[in-house]
Amino acid sequence: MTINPFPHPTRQSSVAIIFILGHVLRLLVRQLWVVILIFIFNQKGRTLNSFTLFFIGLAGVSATLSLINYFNFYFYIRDGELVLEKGVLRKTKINVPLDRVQTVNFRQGILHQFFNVVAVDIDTAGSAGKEFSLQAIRMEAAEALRDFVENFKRTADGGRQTVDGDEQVPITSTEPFQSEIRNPKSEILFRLSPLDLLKIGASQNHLRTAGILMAFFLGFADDVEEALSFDFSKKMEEWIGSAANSDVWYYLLVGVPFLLLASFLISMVRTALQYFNLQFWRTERGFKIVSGLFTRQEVSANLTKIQYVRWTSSPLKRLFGMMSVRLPQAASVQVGRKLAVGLPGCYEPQLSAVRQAWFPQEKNLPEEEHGVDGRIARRQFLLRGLLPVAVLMEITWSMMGTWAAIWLLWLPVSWWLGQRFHRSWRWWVSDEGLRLGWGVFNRQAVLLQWYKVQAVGIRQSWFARRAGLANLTLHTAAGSVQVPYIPLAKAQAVQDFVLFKIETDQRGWM
Amino acid sequence: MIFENSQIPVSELPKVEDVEYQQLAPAYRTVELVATSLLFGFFLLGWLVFFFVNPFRMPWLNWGLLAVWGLLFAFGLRNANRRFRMEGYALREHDILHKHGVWWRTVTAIPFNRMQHCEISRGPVENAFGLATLRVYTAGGSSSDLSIEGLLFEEAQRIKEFITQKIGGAGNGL
Repeated sequence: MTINPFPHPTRQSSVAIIFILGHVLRLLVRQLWVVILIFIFNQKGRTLNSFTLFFIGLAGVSATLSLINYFNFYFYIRDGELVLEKGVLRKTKINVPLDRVQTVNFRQGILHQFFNVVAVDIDTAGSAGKEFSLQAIRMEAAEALRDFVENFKRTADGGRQTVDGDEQVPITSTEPFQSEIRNPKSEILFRLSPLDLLKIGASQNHLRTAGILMAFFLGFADDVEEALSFDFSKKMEEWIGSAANSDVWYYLLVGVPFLLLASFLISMVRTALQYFNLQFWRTERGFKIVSGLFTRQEVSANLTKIQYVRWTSSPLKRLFGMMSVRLPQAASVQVGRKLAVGLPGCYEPQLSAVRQAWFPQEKNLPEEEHGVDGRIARRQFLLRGLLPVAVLMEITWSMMGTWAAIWLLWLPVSWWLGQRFHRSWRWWVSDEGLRLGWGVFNRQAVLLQWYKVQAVGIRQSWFARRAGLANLTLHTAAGSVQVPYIPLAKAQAVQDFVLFKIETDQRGWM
Repeated sequence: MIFENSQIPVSELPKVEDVEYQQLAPAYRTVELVATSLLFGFFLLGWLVFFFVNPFRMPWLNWGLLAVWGLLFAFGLRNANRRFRMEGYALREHDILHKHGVWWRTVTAIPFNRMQHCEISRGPVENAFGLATLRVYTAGGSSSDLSIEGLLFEEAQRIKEFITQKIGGAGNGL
């Protein structure tokens, strides 16, 4: 039994003040940045005094808020609950039962590293608004907290039969914490080399970055327009208008590659910052990933919490022999994506290690291979061929005239892609689980164990019913997995089998 | 315990397909039909305003709209009726099944040992008709939660009682 490290209300490390201050300042600046911009650019008629006064005021307000915040923030562990108290005017008290805690994750930015403190995020099962985070506590204290929580859960699991209901014994001990034994059974599986990092950066989704970039620029332009009464779109029109009509193509020719290049560079930098020196650990209870250049982030995924394994590879990744792996964990909907621990890129051996650890029987079980119905190709053709072409032709008709018919060239390609998509869809059933694989360019795969399934659904559209087809959906606590366009009889057989497996399996899904 | 791993005769597994579904309370059909009628009554009011204001001065348009309204109303009633007939639920020893939908037909099955909790809710309309809605929650999020509207209140209570007992007994797989 470990000893409760925080029996009494404890404040965070005093370093936390810096982070709170930073947080408050960010909040203020986000609210007031337009005002600040006006101050900077629009100083006509204003003396320097009012300008400085404003900033002194701003700094004063932030500092006061931060100090108040810091001194009114306590956390402790009592009666099997992690308790957090904060607030002055509106007091908040958050109680998190320790056995509801999903994961205890650490974050360490440069400042954290400098002061040897970490930020702690605690994810809980269920109820939103109960997420619990500490800005900065000492490294040892954080580790003690995590070990205590994990030990508590382990002993509580074993002791649950004998201990009645809510009354859990081990927690009320009030001795101060002693340095305890660390988990020694961790081994490192994988470390991202700079070259790997480069490959991952290169194979990121640059179009998405471009989208974010555009959205950011447009949003930014909007705000600046409002603040400085400067009309961006008008300026743009002037530039484009002053150019002869043929020059539009020139601008497009220069602009699009420029945007793509910028996106590429930004993806690279982001990847480098986020995944620098990524280490993938196999721990006693699951996996742990530590990564980040300025902000070191440590996330862990316990094997029991992982609901399925998903890996994907883009064409570029396949060229490098890499894939990205996600390990979605059970969580409330509100916490959502945050809990999907993932590797942005790794190689076959790491994936095998994950599969082996999470689903040890997988490779010994005979599998039955199935495909999906050919009509899925028609659906793909409709959704990715006919509809977009119709929309594009409609939009561009006035601009391009009969040239708009050029979009029709997409149709045969789309048809071919649909056929390829159909052929790529495969699913393998075994006694204990399901594996799926699909995708032409982006190959996706999912590995699922039956006993992790929460509910089974069969869904048929009007068309599918006429063709005797159905979509089979397996809901897990970390999202759903769907097998589309399979014969109804097959879907029903799988449904019956999965229900049987769930209802007879004694293992806990979490 | 001795490790057992006998082969499962898949063809002998209980089949969801063979289950006889329980229909919802007939009062629910009335509720659905009344709700549809109310909605279309609303549209009719809109049409009346349109008719008297007559902005386009085209009488055929007015009557044409009324005809469309009539068609849609008939379609809505038929749909409500079919929705009622298609919906059903079944309790088995280890799970609950729910089927619903006219255009998109869905059958959802939730084993008792994966349920988190279940609850009954009643709105004013349901109250007036003696009906209730039963909701079953799993850890799978809203997409896998089950909600059966239009149960008789007593029946909903009985089912809830039954499920609660089952959840307690099944140990929830946690």
